[in-house]
Amino acid sequence: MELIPQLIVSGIAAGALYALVAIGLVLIYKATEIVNFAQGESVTVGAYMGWLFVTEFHMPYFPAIAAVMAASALVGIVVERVAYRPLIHSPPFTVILATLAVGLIIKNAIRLVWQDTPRTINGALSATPLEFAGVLITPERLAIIVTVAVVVTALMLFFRFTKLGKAMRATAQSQEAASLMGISVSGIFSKTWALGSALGGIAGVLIAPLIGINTELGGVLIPGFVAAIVGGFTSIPGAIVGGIMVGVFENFAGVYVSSSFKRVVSFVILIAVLMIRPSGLFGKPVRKQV
Amino acid sequence: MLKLEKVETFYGSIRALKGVSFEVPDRSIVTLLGSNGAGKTTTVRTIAGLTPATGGTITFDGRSIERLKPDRMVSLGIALVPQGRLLFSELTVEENLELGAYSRRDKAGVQEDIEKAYVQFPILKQKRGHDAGTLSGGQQQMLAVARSLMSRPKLLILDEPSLGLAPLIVEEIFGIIQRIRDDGTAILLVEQNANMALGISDHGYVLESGEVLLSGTATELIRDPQVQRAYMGHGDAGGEPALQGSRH
Amino acid sequence: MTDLSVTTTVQKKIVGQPAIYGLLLLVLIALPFVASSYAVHILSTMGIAVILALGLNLLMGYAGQVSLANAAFFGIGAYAVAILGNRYGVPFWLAVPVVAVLTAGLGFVVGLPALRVSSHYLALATLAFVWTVQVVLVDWVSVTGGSPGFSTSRSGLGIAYLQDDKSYYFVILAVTIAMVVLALRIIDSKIGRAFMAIRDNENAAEVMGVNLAKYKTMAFAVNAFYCAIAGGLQAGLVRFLDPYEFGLWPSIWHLLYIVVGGLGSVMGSVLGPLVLVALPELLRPFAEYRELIFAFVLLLTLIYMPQGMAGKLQEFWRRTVLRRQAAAGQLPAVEKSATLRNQARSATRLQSRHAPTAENEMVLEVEGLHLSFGGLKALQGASLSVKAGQIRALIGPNGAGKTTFLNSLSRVYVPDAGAMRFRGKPLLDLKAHDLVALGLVRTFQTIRLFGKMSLVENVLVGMHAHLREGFLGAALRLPHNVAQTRAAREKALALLAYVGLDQLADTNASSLAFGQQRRLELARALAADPVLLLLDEPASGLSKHEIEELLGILRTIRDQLGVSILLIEHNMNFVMGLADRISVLDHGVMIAEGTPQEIQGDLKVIEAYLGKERAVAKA
Repeated sequence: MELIPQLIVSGIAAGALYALVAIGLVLIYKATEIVNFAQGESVTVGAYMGWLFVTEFHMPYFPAIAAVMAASALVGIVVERVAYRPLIHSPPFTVILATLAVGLIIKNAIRLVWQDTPRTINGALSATPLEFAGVLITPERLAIIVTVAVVVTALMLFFRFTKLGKAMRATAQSQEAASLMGISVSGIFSKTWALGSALGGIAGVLIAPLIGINTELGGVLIPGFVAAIVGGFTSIPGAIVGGIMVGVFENFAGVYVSSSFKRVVSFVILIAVLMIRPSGLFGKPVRKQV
Repeated sequence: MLKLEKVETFYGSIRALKGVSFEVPDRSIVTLLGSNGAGKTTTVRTIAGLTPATGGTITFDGRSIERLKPDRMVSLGIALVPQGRLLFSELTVEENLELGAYSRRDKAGVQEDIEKAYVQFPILKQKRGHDAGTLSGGQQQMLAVARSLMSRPKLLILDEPSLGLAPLIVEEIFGIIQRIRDDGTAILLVEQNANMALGISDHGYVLESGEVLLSGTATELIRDPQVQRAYMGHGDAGGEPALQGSRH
Repeated sequence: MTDLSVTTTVQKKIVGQPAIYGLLLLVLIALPFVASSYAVHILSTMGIAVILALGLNLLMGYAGQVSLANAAFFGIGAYAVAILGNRYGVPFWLAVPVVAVLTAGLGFVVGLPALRVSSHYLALATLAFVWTVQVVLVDWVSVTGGSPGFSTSRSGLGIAYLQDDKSYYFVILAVTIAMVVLALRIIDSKIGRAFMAIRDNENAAEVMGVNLAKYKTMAFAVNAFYCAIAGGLQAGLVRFLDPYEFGLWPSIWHLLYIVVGGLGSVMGSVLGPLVLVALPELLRPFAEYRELIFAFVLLLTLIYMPQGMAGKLQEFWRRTVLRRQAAAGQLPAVEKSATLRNQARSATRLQSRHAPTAENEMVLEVEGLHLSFGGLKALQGASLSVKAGQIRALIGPNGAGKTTFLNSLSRVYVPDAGAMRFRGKPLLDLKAHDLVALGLVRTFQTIRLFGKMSLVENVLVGMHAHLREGFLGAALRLPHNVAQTRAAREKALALLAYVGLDQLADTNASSLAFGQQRRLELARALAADPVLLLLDEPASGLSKHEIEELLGILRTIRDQLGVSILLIEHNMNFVMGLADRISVLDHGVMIAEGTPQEIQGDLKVIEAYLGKERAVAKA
């Protein structure tokens, strides 16, 4: 059936977005050991900022994406300053709740300013589907896949070849050693939160044309989480695979089971992973230490 | 160059250092000795700013540094090779070296120094693209030292560099340490292996329970029976303290 | 998990006044007669919220396990009772307890991941569960009525005689009070102490004999039970059940109850819901801003009031009441160091349950232990033995493998090869928490006390392996349990007296000075009724005076209690003065064994510590 490749392709598109959210979560977690419950809100911010820059300010697509990244990065820094820094000596549970609280504040702030009137980003792209080897794909979905691929590649290059990227990797491995090298660990934390949230923002801009803009976009946090779990919360390639897995399975479930089962797919995968390999498909098995 | 005066530090709720004073003059190798728990590592961590001092002063080149954070130390010219080396095990040898020079802005100079490091430590050049975690213990120690040298420090502190290494490698490392001193860097060496350390040092201080018990030139300390007693106990077992070694 | 829990002893002091209870009860009973029916409805809601908060606090505040599943159990309880009653005619009074017990079983299953994964993953597993339950409630329209909700009524549940809001309020009040009492009883029992020990220091708890798997899943079951009871009551309170009230976000709201109220506090479980149920009612005109305000409340509480309201009250009490007591000279005097007379008297009360050791019995035998971590060979054939009534020290330079050796004995690490026998029994057959029951007890180099528990409670956890108290026994306060607890407390006080800490029995372990904490650790280890004590650097961080005292205590333990000791230590003076025999470990192998004098003069040992040249230079 031609349906299957179709489902796979649109699954990859959705999965690419989940992957972005997941990578943001993983970056922040690797550096600070905190799961950023406000990550969903950076997606929402990204979507609204995208609407603002593209539809209201009529910026062209790619500069708009850059502007959105900057805005979401700012959100990340706010979360870091407000939820993480004051609680730096508190147990992780407290900090995670705090990120949740800040996320809710951001979400409600957006809702109060812009209300829940449905909006969308007016297509910079046409709606007519293109055809590749018998598979139909809308330009929007294609744009998502391409953009995410570009972003992830840029990210890998950033970590591989830039001084800051190496400093971030180093800090994630040993904060103490990093500070002995002269790296300001708290500075790295801020930048990591900014980067992680910027990635969420990009996901927001990309998702908006697909499903519209509203303050509940933050729910994409859940599949993003699951994607990160599949990657063991330590591996970026793992997060990407996880995201694609969730996206594809969701699409199949939507067609072959029921549309409401789509929502549950994330959790089925999550439960399966937790039962079979809690450290994720790509994570390292955790050794209990005394 | 480095001067500690009556430094006190708490480790959690324990008074780990109870007034430690010593000096590291320019172009010298000073060694801190003492059994485990004596306070050697705490002293080093306090100097590097990893643990805050609660009393006393630490001066470097005349400047007071006891309140500074660790990431400031490198730009002042102090580099620490920590116990256990703390390499970035998932980064390559070359990346580790680059990070050693993080605080420097002269790209060309950094490249030069990397090449110099490869000359001084040829094995590192061989393994330049390998992850640091794949190196053997001795190679890791060399990388840790080379990495710290990348910041062109005026004072290099080494915390138990011989730990876990075979005696031959330890000798190699100690030879390297001497060369570094000859090149103009002052060295503060923390070691449990008293004899090897005293063998290359100019001065030594023996710590016990957070205080300086003995001090002197290396030659004085090598011959001092009190050093052995500091390590092996003061013979409270109710008999004559065994001053003469006896084969068992 | 969290470090925010309010201390139990102080809490008991605040709420221990019967007069306050009497007054409160009177007010609660009188209230419905003077208040509007709207207010009565709010009070009823508060009661249910208190039950929820109690259940949540038992799991998160006391046992330290993260869970977002509470709304799911709440929903399951509510829907099950509502469906059974309205559709199948099952009477309310039967449905609620049965559903609660079955939900407890479900809670046990949901808690199983807690055994293998860290708290982050646990939160996510429970998150998955609650989301799935909500989806089921919304989508299984034939059973649950789906999105529009499930209509229920008291007459539908077979309790039409409780149709009056006031009457139902009294039912809720009674059940809430019962649940509070149950919670207090659980907390004050072996189960509660096991929970708190797991929260404060899981590794230490395990070493003291607490079966982590058993108690963690039990905590989940208890949580589910409470939530289901609350759910059953909810089915009778409202006119229809809305599936969206039993999902992820409601679960998080419920967390607010205990975060704002106070984690690890029964009082907090009452205060939090009171405030947080009243708040939305007061905020009705601002419904739009509700979520925003709640988020702010949560954030500000986390930053400025991490101990919750109960914690703030505790602080207040400590600052005013305690200060007044101190001024009036009512505070306990500073504890005196243990006198021998004290010790001798106490020692007679400390009978061991184990078979006494024979004269030359080898209490511990280790042969050829090998252990590698990846490429690092930590132990390469280490052997030693400890005779009954002997103090043996294990020494060696840094990195020799001493702690690895001890960890192998206490079953933290699994050796690659070699044999370990305790009183003839191979240790490899045993799990970490089984060792205590046999008489093998260890301490840690870093202090691992249960900081939020009192000294007595810490010692009582030491007795965990030897006490028998199940859930029903704790809940019903059976005479056997009461008598056992009394005897255990006496023994705990005797042990504290033994180490000279009895005057501070009810203070928090975290408030002790370092030397005192070490002594408490010793008392706790003794409470576990050891035949062999494994001590990991017991003298580290102690002052000269405290080391002298420790020497004395350890000698007395050997002489009076017949306990054998194996200790790792770096402090040579201490070792030479205390040990009967010494084994020296270097690079994972034993290089010498003998009396302190022999070891002090042994060239191999001197070389291991000081290096080679020394011996040569001396000659």
